[in-house]
Amino acid sequence: MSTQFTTSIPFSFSHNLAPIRLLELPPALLELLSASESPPILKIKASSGATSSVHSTDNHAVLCTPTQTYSLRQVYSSNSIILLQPSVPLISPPSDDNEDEDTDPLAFLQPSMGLKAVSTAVSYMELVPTIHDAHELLLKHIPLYHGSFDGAMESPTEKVPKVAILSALPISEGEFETAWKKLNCFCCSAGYAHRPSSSAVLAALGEIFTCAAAESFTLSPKDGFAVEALVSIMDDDEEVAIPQGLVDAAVAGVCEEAVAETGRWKLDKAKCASYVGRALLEDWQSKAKGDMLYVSFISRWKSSVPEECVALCKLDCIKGWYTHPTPSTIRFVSGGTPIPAKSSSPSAAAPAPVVTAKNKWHEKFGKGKRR
Amino acid sequence: MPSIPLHTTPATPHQAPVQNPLPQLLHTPSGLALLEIQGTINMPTPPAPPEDGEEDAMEIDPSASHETPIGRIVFPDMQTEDDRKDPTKFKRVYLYVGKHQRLTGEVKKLLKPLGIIRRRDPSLKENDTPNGAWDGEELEIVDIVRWKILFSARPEPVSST
Repeated sequence: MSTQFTTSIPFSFSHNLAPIRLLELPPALLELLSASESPPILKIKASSGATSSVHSTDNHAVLCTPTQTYSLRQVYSSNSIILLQPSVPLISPPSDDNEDEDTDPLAFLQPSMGLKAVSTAVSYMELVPTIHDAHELLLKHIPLYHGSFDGAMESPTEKVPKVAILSALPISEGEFETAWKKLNCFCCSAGYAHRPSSSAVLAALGEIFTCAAAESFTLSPKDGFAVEALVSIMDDDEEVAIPQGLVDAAVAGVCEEAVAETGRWKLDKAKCASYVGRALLEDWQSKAKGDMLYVSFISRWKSSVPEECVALCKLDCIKGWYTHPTPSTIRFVSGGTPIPAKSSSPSAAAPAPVVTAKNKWHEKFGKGKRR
Repeated sequence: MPSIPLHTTPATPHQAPVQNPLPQLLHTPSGLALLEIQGTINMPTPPAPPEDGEEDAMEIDPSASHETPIGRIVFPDMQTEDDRKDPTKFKRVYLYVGKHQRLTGEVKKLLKPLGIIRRRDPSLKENDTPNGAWDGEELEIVDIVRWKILFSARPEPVSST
C-alpha cells in the first residue's frame, strides 16, 4: 500500500476491538503512578445493588489510592476516540494475536509498519476529588459503644469487623484511618469495630487516671509509657471491664507519642485538658440535659483530669467547641478543629463546618425523637 | 461495596513494538497511541463475529478478514528519519480515508494524560505474586498516553494518488 517509510502509514481497523476504558489522570495521581518503581495498587469501589440502599450518597464508583479518594465520572464525547497500535500492514499475512502484534517474526521483514485501530471509545472517565466525608461516614457506620463499667459490657446491636466497614465505605484506607483515630474507634477483642460514646471515653479516662494515681504509674515519663504497662496495672482492679482497644484510643486522645511511631506515649497536658473538656460537654449534650451550668462544668472538668492538668482547664483550650447561651451556662458546639490544640490553622478547620452543620441537624432530630 | 483492584502496571511487561511508525513523541511503552476524530468512521460492515461476517466482508484476501483497511496516516512534514524526533515536523497530520477523502489534523498534548485500562488476563494471575489473593475481576493500567492525534476538521475531497 505504501512505499514511503516515514510519512505514509497504512491505517486499518480491526474487527476484534478490545474492550478498554480510558481514565483521565489528575496530576496527583499521575505523580503517584510515575514516581515510584512499584506504584501502589489502586482500588475501584462500586456500590452493588444490594448495598446502595444503605448508603444513599455513594451510588457511584470511586477510585481509591492509599490516601485519597476520587469519584469516577463518565464523560461522553461526540468524537470517536480510537486506540492505535503499530501492526503489520494488511498486505502481509496478519498475525491473529491482537495483543502483541510484533512478536511476529515476520515483522522484521516488513519495509513499513502500519497502524491498526484496536479499540474505540466514546467516553472516558474523569476523576473528581472525593465528596465523601470520612468522618461523617464513620459516624454513621460504626456502631456506638456506650460502655458499661459495672462489670457487664453492653453489647452493641450491630457487630461489624473493621475491614468490612472499610470495604463498604467509598473512602481510601488513609482517610479511613485518620477518621478512625479522630473518633477514638477501636476493635474489641472479638474483632468488631466500635465507636465509643463520650461517656465511654470519659469513663475509660477516669479509670486510667485513677489507676495511674493509685499505682503511682507516671503518665509522663521522659521516654513515654507503653499502653500494655498501663493495661496491666488496670487489670489489677477487678472492676475494670474496659476493652484494651478503648484504652489505646483514650490514651491516644490525651497523649502524644514520646517518639514518633514507637507506640510509647507521654501525657500531653494541653491536649488532655482540651480533650476532656470537649468530651464532658459533648457527653452532657448527648444526654440531652439542656445547657450545663458553667460553674459545674468547670468543677467537673477539673476533677476529671489528672492533677498536673488542672491548671490548664481554661476555656481557651476548648475555643470553638462551646457557646454561652446565657452568661452562666455553657453548651457544646462541635465546631472546633477535630484535632485539639495543635491544628488550629484555618486550612485544617475549613472542612469542619460542613460536618458540623449536618451533625447538628442530626442531633437535633435525634433529640426530638427521644423526647 | 465490592472493590476491584486496579493494577498500575500491566501484568506482563510491554514488548516494545519492533517498529513504531509514529513520531517519537507519540511513542508509549506498549506502542499504543490515541487518535480522535470528530465524527465516526463508518465501516463497510459492522464488526461481526467471524462465522457470519466473513461472507459479507469486502476483503478479497481471506487472511485479512479480521481487519479492514481504512487508508493512510501521513505526516506531510516528516521526510527523513531525523524528522521523527523533531517536534515541529509532525504538527500537521493527514488522514486519508479511502482514496478520495482527506482529513487534516494535528498532534495535541492532552490536558490530562489518559490511562488505558483493560481487564487483566485471569490466566496470568499465578505469576502475579503479591496479589494472588484476589479472586475476581482485576483491572490494569496498560499504558498512559499523553498525546493524541486530533482530526477536528471535516473531510475534504482529494483526487486519488
